Amino acid sequence: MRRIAFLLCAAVLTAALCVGCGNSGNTNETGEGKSTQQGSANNVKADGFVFTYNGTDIVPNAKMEPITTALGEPTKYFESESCAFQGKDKVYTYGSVVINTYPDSDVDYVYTIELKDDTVQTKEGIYIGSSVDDVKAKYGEPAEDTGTALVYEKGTSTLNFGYADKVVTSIVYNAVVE
Amino acid sequence: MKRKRFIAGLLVVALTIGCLWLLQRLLVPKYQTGIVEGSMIEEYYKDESDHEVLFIGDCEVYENFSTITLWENYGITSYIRGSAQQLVWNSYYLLEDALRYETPKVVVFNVLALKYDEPQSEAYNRMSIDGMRWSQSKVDNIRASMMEDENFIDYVFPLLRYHSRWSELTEDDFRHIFSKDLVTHNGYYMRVDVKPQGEFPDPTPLADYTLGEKAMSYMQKMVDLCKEKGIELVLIKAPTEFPHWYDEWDIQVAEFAKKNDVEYINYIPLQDEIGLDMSKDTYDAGLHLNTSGAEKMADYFGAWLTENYDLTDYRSNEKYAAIWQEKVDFYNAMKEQQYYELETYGELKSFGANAIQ
Repeated sequence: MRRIAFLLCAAVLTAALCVGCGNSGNTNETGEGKSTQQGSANNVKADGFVFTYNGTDIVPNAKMEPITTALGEPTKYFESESCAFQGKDKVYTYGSVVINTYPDSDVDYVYTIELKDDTVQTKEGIYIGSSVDDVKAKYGEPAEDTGTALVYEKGTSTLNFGYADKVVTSIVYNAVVE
Repeated sequence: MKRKRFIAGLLVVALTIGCLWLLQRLLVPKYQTGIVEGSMIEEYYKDESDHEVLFIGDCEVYENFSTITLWENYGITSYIRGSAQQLVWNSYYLLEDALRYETPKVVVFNVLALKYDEPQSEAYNRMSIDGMRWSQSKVDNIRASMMEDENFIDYVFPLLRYHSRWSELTEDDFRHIFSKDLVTHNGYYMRVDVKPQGEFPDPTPLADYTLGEKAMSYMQKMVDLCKEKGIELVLIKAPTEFPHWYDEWDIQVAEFAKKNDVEYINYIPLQDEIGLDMSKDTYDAGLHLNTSGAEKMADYFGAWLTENYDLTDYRSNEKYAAIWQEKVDFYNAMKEQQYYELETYGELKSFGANAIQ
């Protein structure tokens, strides 16, 4: 009888041990601790193209909070809840610069930086209205030319220059979060 | 003596398995309050009646079409096999899975998910996959969906994934350890509250507007599967405007539909014709419709379905009428409760992310 009791205890203990093992870093009910809407950012370094606005460096995949602290109140702000409440996608507008963020474990990261007009320019001096030749002179040959955009890659970011008639029509920095 | 030992050994093994099974039942998320979207896939199997129209896709189907309105106004039997951020391969395998149980006349797929060409999130994967019954379709769905840091074995034994939830257990986990309540109305997620649509940010220009190869290939598989089974496939873009649906994407889907001889309807430009008033017909500032919007959408879509397909009006069929009356009663009761909470508290207390258990 004692032996059976021992075996029963052993069984329960084994089950409990199996349950208790492993890390508890991703315990959230729906697993949001592990991933994000656009991809996993926990291991993504913000080591890509740098855009500077009002003296503040903004890099795709960087945490947004220090940027909002430095830049202050945005001109416009928009947020949307993702399906099943897996965090919020936020859009901050500072004058002619629009920053989209993505959430990961309650932290917002820079997803895209869009330059809306020719009052702002990249660090290398390219603005909307620059020529495609100007872009190539500053940045060299792109990683990809889609026919409507020149795509440059650096670290965990891309820099896209949309163009029409050989003139830059859009400038967007993107985070790579695969 | 040997026999005794053998029996004792068996007992230990059986008990261990039993304990683990019980712990797994306890620890896996129940999705009964708050984030109920994780219950949707599993709920489909509880509905034993067949459906002539099957919707598949993301929140743009399960929040924008009232299945009850389709029944009440047209006698259409329908089910929405939707889940949060359901990606195209999820939709394909969920369709494949549903076809093991029934063959609808029309399958409706919402195309917004084509914007994603790779898995996005473990949380969404779980909500789209965990509720599936085991089949080759589920295995293939897992394989197509896993993120880099996910393991197949975690889907086979969810306890491995959720073992550390023990410190987060709520009353729901104990109450629903063996059974769950219905959270949808044949897949439709009800919200009666209103939050008017505001101004959306301008869409961000993309370097490349080409829809992803993987996503498009799964939509092609959907077309092929429907053709093989004699099912009419209808591609739709729900009438909501955010997240932005680029014209370039719309053109590609329209071309795909034309090439494959299937219908494609983008409902965004038809908001007025549908009768949608986005200052009243949305509960989250324009991302999804609320119940009044979903009823308008279902009424408009039901008229189109009835006109274009040989669907049966089952309202005069006693068997179906009895089944659907229960659904209508459940729908009306939930609607009443939501309006009551809105009137009493000014917001929903038992529904949505902030629901109190």
